Amino acid sequence: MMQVRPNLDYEGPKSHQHHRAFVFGFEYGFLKEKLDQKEAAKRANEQLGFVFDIGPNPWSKPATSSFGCKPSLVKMEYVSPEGLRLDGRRPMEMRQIRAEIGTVARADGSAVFEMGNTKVIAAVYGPREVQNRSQQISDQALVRCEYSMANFSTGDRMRKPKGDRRSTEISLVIRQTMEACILTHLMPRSQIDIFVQVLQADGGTRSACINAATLALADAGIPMRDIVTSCSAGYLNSTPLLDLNYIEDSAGGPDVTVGILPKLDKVTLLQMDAKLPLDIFENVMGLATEGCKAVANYIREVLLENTKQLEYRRGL
Amino acid sequence: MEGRLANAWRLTANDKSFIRTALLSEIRIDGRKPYEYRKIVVKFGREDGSSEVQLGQTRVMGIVTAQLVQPYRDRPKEGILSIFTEVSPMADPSFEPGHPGELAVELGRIIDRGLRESKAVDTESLCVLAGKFVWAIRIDLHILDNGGNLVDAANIAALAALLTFRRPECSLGGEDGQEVIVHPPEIREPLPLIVHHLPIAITFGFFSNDSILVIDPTHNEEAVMGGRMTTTVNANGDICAIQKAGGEGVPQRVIMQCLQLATAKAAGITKQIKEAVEVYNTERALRKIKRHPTSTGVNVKERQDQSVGK
Repeated sequence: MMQVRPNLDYEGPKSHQHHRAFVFGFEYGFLKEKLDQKEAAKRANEQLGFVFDIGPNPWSKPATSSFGCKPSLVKMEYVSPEGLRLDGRRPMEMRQIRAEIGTVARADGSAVFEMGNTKVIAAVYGPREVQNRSQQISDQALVRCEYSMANFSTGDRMRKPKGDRRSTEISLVIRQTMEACILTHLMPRSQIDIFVQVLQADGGTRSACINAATLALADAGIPMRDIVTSCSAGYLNSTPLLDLNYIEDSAGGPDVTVGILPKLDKVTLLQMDAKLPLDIFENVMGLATEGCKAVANYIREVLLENTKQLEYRRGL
Repeated sequence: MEGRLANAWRLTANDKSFIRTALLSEIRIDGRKPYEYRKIVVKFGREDGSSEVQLGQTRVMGIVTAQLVQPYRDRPKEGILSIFTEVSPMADPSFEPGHPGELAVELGRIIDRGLRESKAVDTESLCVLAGKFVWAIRIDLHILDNGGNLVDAANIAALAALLTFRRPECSLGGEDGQEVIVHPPEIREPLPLIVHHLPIAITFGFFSNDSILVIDPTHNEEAVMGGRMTTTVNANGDICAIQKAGGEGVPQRVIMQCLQLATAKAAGITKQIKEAVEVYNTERALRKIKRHPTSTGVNVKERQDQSVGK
């Protein structure tokens, strides 16, 4: 007998077989091992009196129709008819941002950045002498970056926090993004290390890492062209959504992460996965860019506040 | 963390400034126009699912193999697609032997995202017995020669290999239908994979000047350019993936311009790949027909006369 219960734990990433019906805030968790889709739908029908109709898997259709779910399919509601998302936000609303500077006393610069439930800590060491002489660059600073996720950051304990391919790629991405904005030619033969660690992962870790790294670099006093801010956006249920959280991210829809230099109005980081037609992509990218600008305003406020505090402490 | 290696090849200052100045007049050092692609040659090996792609000087080989495995717990009805890249110092002295560097990992992930997230390969058809046996398709990409723009060449190699790969047919048998019998290719014709669309990766190079944009950068241009962007688009006009991992900042309109260019190029490249695959398929079919050794009619009497006549 299947029970109606609020299901707050999400099993596993990006599961298309995970069918849920979002009914007034309650979720049915279909027990995957015991019931298959049809059985589970039948039971839901009996219990609730709704009519669920399961057709073929929507993602096995050919590529010509990118987003045409048949009306008879189980609709995965990420945006309710009133226009609210799973966590009660509006489609154009970002999660709450919080930032703190100077959290790691030993580092030259550090910051903690929170976007909703995603919490990231960044520490910057540098400019300092290059540890590996063979890697020294005579006219520029060497920028290194390491991204790792704490074991406890995700729901299930992670076996390999760093060294896996995803972490290597994100380290590369963050390094190249920050390299574009740091004035490396002012610090030849030196090294700047950026360490970013994810403490809580709830979607948008990449963006949070870049924002935290920007703050940490500013705290370390490293000369930059402009701050880099980043935000993600997606497209689910035919609505562009800003700042996806983990559930929305693992829904299998497109995920666009944008990193911009706000004053120069240039895009440094742009990553997208899953299919999107060109015009919809333009909308989603525009939305993410707006999110980045909002983050930039907040970061500027935080930095100004921090500078005031420093002045106060020095007695100015 | 990966720093730059001591044996990393660096372009001389003169070469760099020459490339930059030439680009200001829209001339590239290999004679191409800024939005022109190099010549693509797609060749196939004897085995199904092996391809070799040549993009100008860049050479990449792609091999596809399949194995029956247990599916992931949260996706019991889907097959598995995985991509592995091998870069050896043979292709470029700055590649480290053994442990794949950042470049190899990024390359693998870009192609992986383009194929997997956009559902180019139908993984549901790879399911044999839900929850127990599915086909795991493994694509191995070997970089043979780095002449610049490895991502595009590797992507084409992966697609060509996937299109020509044939997996063995299998059926359920045994007492309760739980055993999987894999039929050898001689008994039952192996089946091709279901590929819905072809996501083509197209790489752009950005230089410090905003308006300079090149498609398909060569090795030398890669050393000079400030930033790169790889867009994976298909011939239907959908964008499958974009990767712009930092580097030079560009205004949004330039990005949209790149996407439109990419969509235009993708159609041409898709056609080329499909044509090459067609040629291979016809040749493969012809190979199957000849069951007996080629016997050309020999006029025995003529031969005898000849030998006698000598």
